[in-house]
Amino acid sequence: MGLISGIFTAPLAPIKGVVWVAEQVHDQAMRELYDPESIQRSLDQVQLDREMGVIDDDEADRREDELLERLIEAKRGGNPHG
Amino acid sequence: MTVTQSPNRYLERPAPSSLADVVEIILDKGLVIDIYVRVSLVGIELLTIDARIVVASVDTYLRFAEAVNRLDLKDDDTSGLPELMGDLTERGAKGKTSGALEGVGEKVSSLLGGGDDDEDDEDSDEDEQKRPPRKRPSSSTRKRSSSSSSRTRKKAES
Amino acid sequence: MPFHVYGVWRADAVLPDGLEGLYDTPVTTVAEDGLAALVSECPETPTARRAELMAHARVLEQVIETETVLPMQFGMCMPDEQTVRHDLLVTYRPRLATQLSQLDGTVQVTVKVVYREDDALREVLHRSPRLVQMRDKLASIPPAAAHFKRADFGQEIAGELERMGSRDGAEILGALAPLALAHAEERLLSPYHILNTAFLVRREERPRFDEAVGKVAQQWQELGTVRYLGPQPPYSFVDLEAGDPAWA
Repeated sequence: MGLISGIFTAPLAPIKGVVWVAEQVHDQAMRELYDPESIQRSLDQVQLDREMGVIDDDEADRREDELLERLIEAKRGGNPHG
Repeated sequence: MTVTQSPNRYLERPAPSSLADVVEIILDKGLVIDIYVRVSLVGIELLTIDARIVVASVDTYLRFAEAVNRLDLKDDDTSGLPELMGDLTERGAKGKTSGALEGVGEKVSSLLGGGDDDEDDEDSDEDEQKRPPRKRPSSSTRKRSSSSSSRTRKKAES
Repeated sequence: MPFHVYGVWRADAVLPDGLEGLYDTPVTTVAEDGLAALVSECPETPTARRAELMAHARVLEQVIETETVLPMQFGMCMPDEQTVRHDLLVTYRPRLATQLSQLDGTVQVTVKVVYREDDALREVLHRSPRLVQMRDKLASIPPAAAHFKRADFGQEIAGELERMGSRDGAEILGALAPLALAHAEERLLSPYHILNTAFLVRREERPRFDEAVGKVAQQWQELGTVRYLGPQPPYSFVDLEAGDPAWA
């Protein structure tokens, strides 16, 4: 990722609020993307947005399809990004 | 049949179960014999991950504070998440490593397993013990007498 | 020809006419010694797209309207009829028969209650003058300096929200559980989710349960939304692992 790779990782002593370790945060974020609970939350949100008219049916379908694909991948034991 | 309640009304007319409703149940519950579970992927392109957007999701406590701030619709100045992300990208681009996001710091501390701050982020799967027991199915409340406390656990339990 | 399996019921149960399942194929049954599996043909490499998932749920929801059925988890694909008979119906006969008997005349319904974010947070502040003070103090500090304090404040909010949600969830459960035979609490997806519980209800007691859920929805309408699903087959109340299979 262009953003992350441009940052020097220089871990300081882990004092609250002052540490920036790009790799760990990135990996954690990846894990969260393939976390079934997180995906389920997103699916719920899409449904809510659909019901409230925030997004139209086509857009809702598109997002749900992508989330479903990710969920199945997660359940197969994958997080393709490690 | 799905029935959803909207404000100022009793239950609405039934609506079909949504994909979200269905997914939550049928992929996790019901009878299963592991060796016969077979699902193939369909080749839908997975979205490319934008790390900036994703990183914003890791700081839980800050989000609560921001959400409370937003309640005061009069003052519409504030450092909502977009501004936070702006800070992030700016610092990132300049290669600075100090003054990073509060929540991110806490998160990272816990990832590194050290530091003064051992508060674990609520969202982290590893921190399930910190969430109240009500999160998990509580076997004590299941009154089906012959059932053991466990359901058929799927290989997907992660 | 592989079979997608929807569920198991008594062999004398009646299949609705023209019931279609996954891949637009007809749902049929495979019977063995008083039990039957509901199945339909599926490809060698079955898919898990929206269409398949919805079809699986739809078939079961149609069937549960009139008959007791033990639902399979989605994705059960058995290579042939012989495998369905032997590895499912014969192997697990005692457990299947017992559950069919226990669950006869019941359905599952699911109640989910979720706070609306703004309303819940306002309520949290309303109940806690201390937090209002914290927020006001925070507002007077320049944002750059306030980072630490903001996370602390956020954490306090989170804690209060958790307590409030826990109490409200328990109260709702207390109102509904006595009207059901059993309940199973499922995972709560966020601090705003305060109830996600499956209830096992006798068919004839459904109207009473529906009414109680309606009351809950009305009582909590200021703070959140109630989602009420059903009737469903008893997804949360079935399993194959308790007790030994026939061949063990």
